[in-house]
Amino acid sequence: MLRVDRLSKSFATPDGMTQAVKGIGFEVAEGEFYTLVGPSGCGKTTTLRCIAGLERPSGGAITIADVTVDEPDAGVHVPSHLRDIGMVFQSYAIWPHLNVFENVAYPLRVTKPAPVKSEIEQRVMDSLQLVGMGDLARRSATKLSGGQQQRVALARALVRKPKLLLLDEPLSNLDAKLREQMRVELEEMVARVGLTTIYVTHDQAEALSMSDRVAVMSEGLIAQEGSPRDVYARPSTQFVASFLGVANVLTGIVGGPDTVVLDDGAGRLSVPLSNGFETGARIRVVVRPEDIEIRADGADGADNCIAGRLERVVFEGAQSECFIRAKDYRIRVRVHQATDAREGDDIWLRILPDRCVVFHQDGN
Amino acid sequence: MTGQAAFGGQPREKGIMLKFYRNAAALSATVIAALMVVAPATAKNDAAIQALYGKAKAEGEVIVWGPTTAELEWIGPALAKRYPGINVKINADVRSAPKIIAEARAGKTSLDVFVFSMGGMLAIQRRGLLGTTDWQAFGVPKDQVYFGGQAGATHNIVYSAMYNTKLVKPGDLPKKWEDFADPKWSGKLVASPFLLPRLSGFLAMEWGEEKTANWLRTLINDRNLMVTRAPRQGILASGERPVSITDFSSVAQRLARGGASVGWAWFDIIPAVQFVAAPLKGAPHPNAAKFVAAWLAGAEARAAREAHNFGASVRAGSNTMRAKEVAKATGKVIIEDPKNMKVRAGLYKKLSPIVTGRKK
Amino acid sequence: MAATAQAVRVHRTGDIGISGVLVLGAAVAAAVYFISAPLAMLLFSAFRGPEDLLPFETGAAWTLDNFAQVYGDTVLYSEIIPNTLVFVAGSVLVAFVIAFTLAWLIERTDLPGRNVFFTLIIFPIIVPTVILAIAWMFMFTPNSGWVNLAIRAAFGLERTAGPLNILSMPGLILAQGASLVPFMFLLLTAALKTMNPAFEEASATSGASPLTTFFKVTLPVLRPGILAPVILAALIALESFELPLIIGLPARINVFAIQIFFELNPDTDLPVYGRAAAVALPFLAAALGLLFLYNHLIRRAESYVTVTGKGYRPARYPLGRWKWPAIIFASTYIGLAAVIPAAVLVWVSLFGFNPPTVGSLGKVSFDAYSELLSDFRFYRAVGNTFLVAGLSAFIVTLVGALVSWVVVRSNMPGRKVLDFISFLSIGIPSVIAGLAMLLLYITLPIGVFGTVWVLVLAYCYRLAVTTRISRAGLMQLHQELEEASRVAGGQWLTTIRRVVLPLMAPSLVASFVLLFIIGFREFTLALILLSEENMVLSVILFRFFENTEMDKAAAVATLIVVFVVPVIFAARRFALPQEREG
Repeated sequence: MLRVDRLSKSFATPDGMTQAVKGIGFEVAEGEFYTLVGPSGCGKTTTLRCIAGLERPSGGAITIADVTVDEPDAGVHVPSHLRDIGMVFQSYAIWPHLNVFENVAYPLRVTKPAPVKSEIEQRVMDSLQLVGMGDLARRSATKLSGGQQQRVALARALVRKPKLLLLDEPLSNLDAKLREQMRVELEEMVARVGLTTIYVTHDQAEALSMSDRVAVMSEGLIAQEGSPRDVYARPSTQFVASFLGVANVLTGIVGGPDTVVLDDGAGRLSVPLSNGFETGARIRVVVRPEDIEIRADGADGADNCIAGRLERVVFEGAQSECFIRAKDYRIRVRVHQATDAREGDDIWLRILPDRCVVFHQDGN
Repeated sequence: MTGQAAFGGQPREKGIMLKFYRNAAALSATVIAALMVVAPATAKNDAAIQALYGKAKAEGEVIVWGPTTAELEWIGPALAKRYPGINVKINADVRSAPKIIAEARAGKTSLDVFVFSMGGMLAIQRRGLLGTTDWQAFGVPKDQVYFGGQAGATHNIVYSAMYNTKLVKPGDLPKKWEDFADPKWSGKLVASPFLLPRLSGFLAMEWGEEKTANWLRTLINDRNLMVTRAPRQGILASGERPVSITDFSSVAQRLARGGASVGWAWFDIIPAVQFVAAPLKGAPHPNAAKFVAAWLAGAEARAAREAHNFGASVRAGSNTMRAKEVAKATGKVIIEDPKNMKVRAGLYKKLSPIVTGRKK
Repeated sequence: MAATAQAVRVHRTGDIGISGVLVLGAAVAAAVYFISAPLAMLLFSAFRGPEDLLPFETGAAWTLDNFAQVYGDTVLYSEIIPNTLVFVAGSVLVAFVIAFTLAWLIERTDLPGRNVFFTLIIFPIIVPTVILAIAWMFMFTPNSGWVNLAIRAAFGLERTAGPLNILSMPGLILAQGASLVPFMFLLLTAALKTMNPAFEEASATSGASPLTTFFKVTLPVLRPGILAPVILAALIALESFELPLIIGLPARINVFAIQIFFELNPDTDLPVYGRAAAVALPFLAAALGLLFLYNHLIRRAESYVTVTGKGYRPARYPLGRWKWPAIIFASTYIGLAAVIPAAVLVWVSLFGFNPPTVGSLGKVSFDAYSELLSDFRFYRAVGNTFLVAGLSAFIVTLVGALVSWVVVRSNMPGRKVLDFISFLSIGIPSVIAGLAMLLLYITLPIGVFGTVWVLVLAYCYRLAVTTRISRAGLMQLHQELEEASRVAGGQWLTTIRRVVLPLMAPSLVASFVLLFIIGFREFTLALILLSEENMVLSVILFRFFENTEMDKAAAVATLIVVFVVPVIFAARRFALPQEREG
């Protein structure tokens, strides 16, 4: 449905040219929910705006439904309004001079030829119903709450059943509770329509929970692409690992086959190592807080255990976040609320070997 | 003509003074010539003049207001030449009169001498704001002293036609105002919306209201007379209209002296606006006010003024170049006068709406 | 975010603190002070007679004669008023179409050379209207206009006049429209600058063509920012009598405002202030009516919040193949309204009205300049002009911004009246205001009469423009931005100083530049409050003009241009943060 090929985009700034996107490529299949996630300035929004036709790429090509919409080298640029897309903006951009109904009806009214009045009515109401705003069709756009604006923006993006739905940080302007709720609703609504969706966010929880596939971007490049589960569990770089969630990083050297000797005599771990890791090489072991168990007893070197002291327990309701001091490391562990460990206890940490991800010293 | 004096105050440096004289080359010679002519008249009053001059010099300064800089800028240099030691400050504003009245009501007088046309002076005079001076000492004839000694006639400015000398030969111009209504002048004339109603007021004193109104209508509706506030020099120079029917001969002469290709002509009726000078009653420099006001109406000031801006008395008996020209001209001179003011103002009121388009 | 878009009003003075109360109180008091004398004089004069007495003199009495004389005339209703309406509507339409297109090209597209274009588009506002008119007459008068001569020569036409004629209603409308463009352009760029570009992008991604987007989104969303300049321009056109006197009268087009000119220039005796005021009162009524209309049309616009806390980067439309048409459009306007008038201005300053020929180049005379530049009084006038124009523009901009804050954000009793009063200054002719200032400062024993300070105070009465501009700017500013500062511990005054005023910068700079230029051009007030000491450039220029010394008048005007252009350029360059190019 969407193919982005060697896309690059440069901007002129007072300090010279800046390359915001440095030649990225990906494909999104029909009906897929594809997320571009990354910290601000990584190029994700620029990529989305290029797909929308709001920015002109500097190089590469973009193809939507087998139609090349951008290929600067061939002089191809299809303007936004001729691309069959729907977009939700970060600020929602609900037009203040139109009411809810007219905001949503707008894409239909500007279509040529415009559908007949009754059809517009029908489709707008369907769309509003879908986002749960059917009752507020006549309300002035300026009297909407943030969540309502977001729904209207979505209804507007969906109303003409575009080939491609583009969402630019649609949840970032909502408060936390509403964001949680809307995240689920949004995913469901989009799933119901079955549209191919490109979603841009800096929030890894949104990226992981909503997407079929995720592309983690950094400095204008895609660092890793894959299913949320894969990318989370098997990050290909330390950046991806730490961006997608809390990651404990333990440093050490390869002590032998599948063996890691941690620095400062913190202990030895048994971790499956691929062929690329020579004995004696400095490495980093990344392990997530939920992949570590806390035990009251254990033995050094046995069963992937290392000793530590429980410094702090942060109660979070369903679970607790524990901070454990093991030599120079401060390790975060997420435990079920039932755990009865107390602050100050000497405990053992068991690190699940197959959940560890190992990188070379440079993070790759 | 100097730029400095044009925005107030007296010329500053000797260098500028020299420049002044170089620019207005005729001035010095004319002043001397005039002095020789009027010498007998001034001799018997010399004592009175010297006495007043002494007191004025002690005050050291005189403030003169008038309508335009052209009417004022020459005063400082000319006075200094003859009666040094009095610093002349000038202020040009067409709407000086309301300002003087407003100031007077607040118990303040900022000027010593007011130079204006009779119309503007009348507003000040009626409110009792003018003082008196010894006009006789400077040889001003009795019939040229107004309001029981409060104002003295200085000069006239005379309505004429100004034309582009490259496009119009003097002989082609009509001899009478009414001949401008001839179709051959269609599309060739321009006039000022400010001056055309005033000119009409003068003409109507001879012609009567109806004839003048018809003349105006013919010019405006049938002869495509261009009535515009744009500077007429530009319209003459571009050739859009070769003749302006509302420009003073003195203005035309000044422009010609400045290098413009313009000439001027008088016709069967010669309307002359009367300018007067008057000392203010509450003048901050009372003696300088008396002295300079009277001097402005006297012969030597008249000569200096004429050399500078071609403004000169056209009254019978005036010994000026302009008066001689008038004597040669065949037209009938109508001089603005307190007696004909009211009649003319009434005619102006009736004719002005034709010019402004408020009456067909 | 948007739930708070309804204006939140400050309910207790406690919220703004003592310093806030003092500052706002001072601003409101200043606004009322600046405006009340001229306003009172206008209302007073209109009902005073007889005509040969000034309104305040002993013997003057209350009367309706002024109205009877001005309004008891059938031509007024059969011709003058219809003419006036066509003239005003036409010139505002012309000005809006040109100004909005230019503003959009400069603020929203990748038009090359935008900074230079910006300055040149503003340029005509600095040039005295009479010079613009002279330049246009040189080009478009029927007999000798250069453009007409060229057309006749090019097409071998036999006729001796035309085909174009500026001395006609279309000519008058185009001329007045063109002279209003800089003013409108300045205000419209400020509005465009603060609009959230996502509104337009959302339209594009909804499938609307750029043209549809323009009409269905850009124009309606910008409504408050567009209506203000349109209404102001309509009032300016209604009151202006310069071009009607120069171009309208020859075409026998009589508009209402030129009556003021004739009332103030009677044949004998004094200007008839009473009838001039009676002519001017409808301007006041029109101003009030238009303000009501404006408030009605934007009643929901309080929540047309277009600037939010989000950093936004205005995306520029690539013009593509429209680049050259756009450049030609902008250049044509600039050529007709800036370059040719500037050339005429310089020409007249060097050669007088002698028509340009190769031979005349040898007769160039710098006398006008050398005489000006060798006089210390000229430099004093330059200093005075900068001081008076700059300081009054600064005061009015600041007072206007604070007054708008009171009107938009506070619940001070009488704030609506304040809004109206501050707007009324636009309906008061300078001559009437001048007379009021003269009486006021000649009477007040504060020692400013005759100094430059009296001019600073007098110039400050023009509050209408700035309150309109800053109100539009303020309405586009999200309340949250202020609240964030207050929550962060900023006192009200700090919030205003560090958050509100900087974010309103585009509007405030536009307002300052406009007032600065108006101040540079103002001569009616300066003339009546004149002394030896407080001479300003505009008066020097006016006097040369009255004295038929056009070369010197043009030289002064040229120098004024030379002084003002860098100010505009600097305002554009430094005071407004430049967006990143994209």
